[in-house]
Amino acid sequence: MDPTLLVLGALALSSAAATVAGCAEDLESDVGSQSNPNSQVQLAPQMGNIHRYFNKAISGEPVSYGLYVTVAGTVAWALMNIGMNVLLALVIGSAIGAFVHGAYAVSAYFGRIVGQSKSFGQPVYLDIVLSHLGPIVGHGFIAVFCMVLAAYLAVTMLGNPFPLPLVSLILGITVGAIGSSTGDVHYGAEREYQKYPFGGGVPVANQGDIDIKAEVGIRNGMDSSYFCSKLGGPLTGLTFGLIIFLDGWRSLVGGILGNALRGDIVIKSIIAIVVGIIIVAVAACLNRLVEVYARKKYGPYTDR
Amino acid sequence: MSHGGGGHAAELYPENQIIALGTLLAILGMYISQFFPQVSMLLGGLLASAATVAGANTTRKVAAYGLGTGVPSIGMLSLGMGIIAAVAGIFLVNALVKHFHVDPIVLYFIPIVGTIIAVILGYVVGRLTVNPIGMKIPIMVESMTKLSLMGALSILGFCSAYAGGFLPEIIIPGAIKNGVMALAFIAAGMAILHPFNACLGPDESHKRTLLLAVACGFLTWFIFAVARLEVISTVVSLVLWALAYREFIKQSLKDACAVYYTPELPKRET
Repeated sequence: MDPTLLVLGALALSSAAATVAGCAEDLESDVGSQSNPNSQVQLAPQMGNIHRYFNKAISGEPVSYGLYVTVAGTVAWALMNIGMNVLLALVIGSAIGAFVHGAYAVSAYFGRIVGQSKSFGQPVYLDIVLSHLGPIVGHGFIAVFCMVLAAYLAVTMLGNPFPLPLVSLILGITVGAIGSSTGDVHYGAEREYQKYPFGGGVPVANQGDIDIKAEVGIRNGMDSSYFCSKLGGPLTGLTFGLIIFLDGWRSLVGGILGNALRGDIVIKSIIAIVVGIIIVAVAACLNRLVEVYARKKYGPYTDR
Repeated sequence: MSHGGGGHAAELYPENQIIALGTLLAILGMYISQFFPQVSMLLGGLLASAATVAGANTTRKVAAYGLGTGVPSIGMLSLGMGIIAAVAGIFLVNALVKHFHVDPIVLYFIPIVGTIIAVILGYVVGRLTVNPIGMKIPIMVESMTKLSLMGALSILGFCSAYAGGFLPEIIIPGAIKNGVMALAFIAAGMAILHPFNACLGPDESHKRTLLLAVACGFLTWFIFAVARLEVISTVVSLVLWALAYREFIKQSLKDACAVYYTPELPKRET
């Protein structure tokens, strides 16, 4: 088969994996209130809001996902070296990554809650630990598996020169960064501050004054994840998938056009860079249009 | 509450004692990995986790001056300095022997050279954070030096445990070129930054943080044992991790103001 077609297929598969990984990663971080929204959950008891959120303070998402995906990638790489089936090795590696994730998640909840328990009267909810651990580890497993798959494809099919553990680290940090930057917007400012008007940001005076009541009963992390699974998670996945796809596509186009022009590696790279600049310019214009449209339609940014 | 992050609670053991013990054990672990490669993961990995415990203890001390948002950055900075020192130690000695024809016996001083480079690098970075950057933390220089040292020792320790020695011809193909050093960077980094990052708060206690640090160290050891596909080390590290982790959970439940199993909010006394 034509090698360009194979590379295109691998690129499509790794982008699809990245899309699923981004979505799962964002929903997982919402269950546990990781990264940005976490500081508000942490502040809540000090503001008198006793809550039932899962406080999963395992550094930021980039660092923690860097760890899980690297663990999965290294174990899978070691298993492949002794001749194990690729898919099985990836699954076992991801399982080890998920175990590490669970161990860190539970210790973060106990540590953070007990760290301010006596001063502010925040109790430890064991049912929260038990009920939230499954979704956290499960979503984490999906995200880690997809990222290790993408890393494996990058090393074997897409010509990435680095070893699998290193590529896993880079891709893990990337998925965490996208999940944090794109996904947290939907959870942090919107969901935790639902009682305040939308679009006003979070003034310092309101910090820590998060919603502790849900549609029914007392709110927990699962309600947040349910809320974010409508828009926040899929959008995060789409963003990350597009990043992986467009970045790969750009160098692929450079290669194909460069071959057509009979150019060397420099010509190919220049074409790839120019295509990248065009993509960034188009994306910036689109972002601006969407922002203006959203402000006009929803924002309270009228004449004050 | 002058220090939002806590961490100035009474110390169980003085910091310098833990640092000295961590340094000694980690260096001992590297020599065991070198001279007894059959047990490099079992003993070398165990002793390398002593460095992460000591690093986590120093993180607790220095990060207590912040609000808790900077703890992961401090951990990453520690490992950033550490990985530079570790790689520089290995390659510097290697170059001395290869290109300047120094006696090959100096190869056996790689852990010591790495330690010295880490201390110098940490001191320089600490001075830089105080002078041009202007961070007003009194123990900054001292803590940066210790963190750099612990980062370098944990990376060198786990890498030589994985590769089965620290000599350049063993560790460069066995842990650096194949990318396992990336795992040492992130896994040891998490073991150094996570204990205090998880336990901070006004009711933080040294005992809980240390217990979690020990558990995280064993977990890092477990990760390396699995990645090396070694059954005995995997089982031993998992058992030790479970013991430390259970102790941490027990202590947490004991220190909590209340433990609930049902969705109810506590009644307000006011």
